[in-house]
Amino acid sequence: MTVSSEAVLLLSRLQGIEIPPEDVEDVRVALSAHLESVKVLEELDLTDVEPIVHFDPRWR
Amino acid sequence: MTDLTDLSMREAGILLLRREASACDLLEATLAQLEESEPSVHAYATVTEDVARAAARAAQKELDRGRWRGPMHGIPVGVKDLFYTKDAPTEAGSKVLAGFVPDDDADAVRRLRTAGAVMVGKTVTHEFAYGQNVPPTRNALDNSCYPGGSSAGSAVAVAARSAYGALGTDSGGSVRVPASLNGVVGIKPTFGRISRRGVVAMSPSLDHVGPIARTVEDCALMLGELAGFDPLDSSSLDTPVDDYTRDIGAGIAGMRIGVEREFYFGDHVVPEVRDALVSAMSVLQDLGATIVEVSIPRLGLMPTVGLITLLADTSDYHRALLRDRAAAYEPKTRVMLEVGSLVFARSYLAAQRARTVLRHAMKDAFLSDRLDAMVAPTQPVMTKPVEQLPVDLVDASSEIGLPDFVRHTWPANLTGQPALTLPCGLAPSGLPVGMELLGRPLDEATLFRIGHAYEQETES
Repeated sequence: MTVSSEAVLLLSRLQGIEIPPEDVEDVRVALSAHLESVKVLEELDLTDVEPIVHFDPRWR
Repeated sequence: MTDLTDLSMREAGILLLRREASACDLLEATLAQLEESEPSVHAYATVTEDVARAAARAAQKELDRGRWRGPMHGIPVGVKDLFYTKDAPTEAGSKVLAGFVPDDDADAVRRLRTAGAVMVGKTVTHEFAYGQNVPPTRNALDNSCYPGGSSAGSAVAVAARSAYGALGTDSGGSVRVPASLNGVVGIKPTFGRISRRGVVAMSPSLDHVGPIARTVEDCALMLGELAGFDPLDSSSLDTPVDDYTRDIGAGIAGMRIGVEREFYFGDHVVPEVRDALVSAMSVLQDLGATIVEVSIPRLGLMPTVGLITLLADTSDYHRALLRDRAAAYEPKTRVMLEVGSLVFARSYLAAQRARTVLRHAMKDAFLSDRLDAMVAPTQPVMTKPVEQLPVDLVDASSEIGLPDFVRHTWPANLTGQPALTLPCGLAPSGLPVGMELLGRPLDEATLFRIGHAYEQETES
């Protein structure tokens, strides 16, 4: 998925962070790569799995 | 006389007990070695000579009075510059924290000092342990090469003999990767086994503290001093600490050691690494272990799940600093923090759901195949000259980049299980290959037992 520079600036405004102009292109490229890599997770059927980060050291 | 810095921590400790050397002798030998090696390896961010000399004198005074605190009494160690230290700056490799001196030690540092260890100084880390910038540290075995990270200085100091052991942190492989690339031993213990209080954070569910040492036994000795419940760390486990060296020499006959080939031995593994691991597994079999073929579905998702979690969590930790001191960050670190700030909640939740599935899959493999441990290459590639390495964490398109170095180390951070790396031979280039042993939660003792058996068998 390719993200535009405008989208990066809009998202950053919504998130309350300021991305300096010299970073925008690098962020755009990295965010695009990230979103591409996430697709593989979104294709999984995980509807019955709770998104809980809990570590139980008992394996039995 | 043997060079004191060539000894293991265990051997040096025995010399101290026999009064054949003093804690001050160990420190002076270490400082001399440090002076010689630092111009080429740059392992230390700060050397605290005066503090170290005072600590060594105090340690020796206690020994002279007949008080012995344990195997780390009088032993010079390095501490990654991510741990709070009240008598040295804690800058996390960043101008953002320049000159910051905390009021207290991190709990792990406090435990080392209580054990009588002598802190030589703070070791170099990538900025905030993110691995995006290029620190000055170089591989101890080939000074042109990448040392791994982010506990680069800790691993290099141990390998270069300017510390007998060192503290590192590991959120995606940052103890195991540099330990492996520099030919030393490191363990990421069970999640919650060592307190993280007073450590500059990345991710609350991925961060671990771990020791780096020259031998498996030394690593076990260090973990014995570092492990324990900390009521002020919400992730700390309130369970008894094993004696990690009690059965370390008991051998591995009858043990079942799993090998998963699809994720850990795919085409991405270079021939030098594959060959070394095949030989290592053969040694384990000769020692009486059974190698068990196992299948763990979707293990290949681990790096993606780990990266999403790390990106979002680290950016959350840096939110205020990024707003107030953005210009003080290295540009590549800042970009990663900005990217992490934009990770969608939907992606983060999908990653946590996938993590749950993967953790169950790993547990099921251990239980259904009755495994004592699993074996894998610590990383699938060899180190390279620094100038040949792109280090963008999210740039999976590079031929060899940071994602390759941490690909095999992500799983243990996501599952919370312990993982030990130890050298398993040299590639034709003369650079070391690392073998990773993954274990059941709180069963570090078994990993040390396997690693020690292998080390003893292959010691030249």
